[in-house]
Amino acid sequence: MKFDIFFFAALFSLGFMVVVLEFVRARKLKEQYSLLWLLIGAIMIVLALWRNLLKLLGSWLGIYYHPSLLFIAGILFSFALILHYSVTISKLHTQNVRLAQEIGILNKKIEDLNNRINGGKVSENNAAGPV
Amino acid sequence: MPNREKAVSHDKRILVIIPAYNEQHSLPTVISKIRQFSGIDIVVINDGSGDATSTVARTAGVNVIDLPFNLGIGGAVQTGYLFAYKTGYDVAVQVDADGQHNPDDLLNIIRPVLQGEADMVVGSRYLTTTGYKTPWSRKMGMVVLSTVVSLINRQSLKDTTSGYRAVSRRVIEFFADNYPTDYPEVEALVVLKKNGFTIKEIPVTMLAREHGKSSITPLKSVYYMIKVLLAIVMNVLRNPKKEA
Repeated sequence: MKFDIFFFAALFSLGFMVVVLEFVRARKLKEQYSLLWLLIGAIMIVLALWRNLLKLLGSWLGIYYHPSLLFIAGILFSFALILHYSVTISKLHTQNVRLAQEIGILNKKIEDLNNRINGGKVSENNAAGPV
Repeated sequence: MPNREKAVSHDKRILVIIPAYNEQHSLPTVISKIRQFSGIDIVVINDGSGDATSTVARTAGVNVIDLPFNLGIGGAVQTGYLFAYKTGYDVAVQVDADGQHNPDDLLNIIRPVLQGEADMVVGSRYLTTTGYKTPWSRKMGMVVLSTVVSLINRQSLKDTTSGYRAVSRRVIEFFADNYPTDYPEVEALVVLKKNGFTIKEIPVTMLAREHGKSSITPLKSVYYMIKVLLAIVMNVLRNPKKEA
């Protein structure tokens, strides 16, 4: 086993996967968001250790400096992951808007109820100020 | 005092939705002008304003919903539709808080919806010469949007960006769940038509804005055009939401 760039790439990927798994274990990362990361880690390890595969793929694709195939793979995966996050953010945005709308309407209802019961004497102001 | 002679409807509940972002100066006039009609409730959606918009509206004695932060016009207007839906209104009318929408046209906008002629009525600046002047660049954008929407909807619609519109109970229910964000007016026309609702355009006069400036800058209007056209194309490609 040579201690070259392939070895370090594999080592880094392995450490990366351990960190991802640790985040999942500590509940800092949800399982569904960890799967893509683990997949990237696993594929990077395979590419780094199985040199003939890297060479074969490289020659198919006309890449003469084989380690650059690792970079390309890494960058493409990053793009896929970022796109995945854009989709997730869009979904969160939609939910966030609906939550704000419901909070606004609920606050109004609470206020109206308060007015009816206490004659407008408010013990606690629930309306949020602008952030 | 509300003028009983001007009562709009005796059995239908009507709600005017006023989305307001930092409109403390123009809001009181808008509210008092709408209040000359009896039988119409008003809700102001305070879209996270930094000024006294909420206080001014409360002082005027209308319903106020304070959003916890700024959602933009689409999110604010939809809050109004959600409120109208939950509290059982039959007709909802959008009116801008900046005073450009003439309350004298209010009844003309509501009437076709009340009489079941259309699910949505849009107050248009361009149907007749109303003396409303716009810069040529903006006019061109409006013509492009009008042409595109008219072609897709197979119905002539002149003022697609007008935010002065009234809708029926069925549309209120639809909008409570489906309302476009960002620049919603144009997109809403396409979405409604696609889902089987009918739209009618009537001429209105626009007033000069009383306070503040238009939020549209050249760069924003380029973004506006691209965003709206993309949204329209996507809507054409999409399937209708459900049996409306």
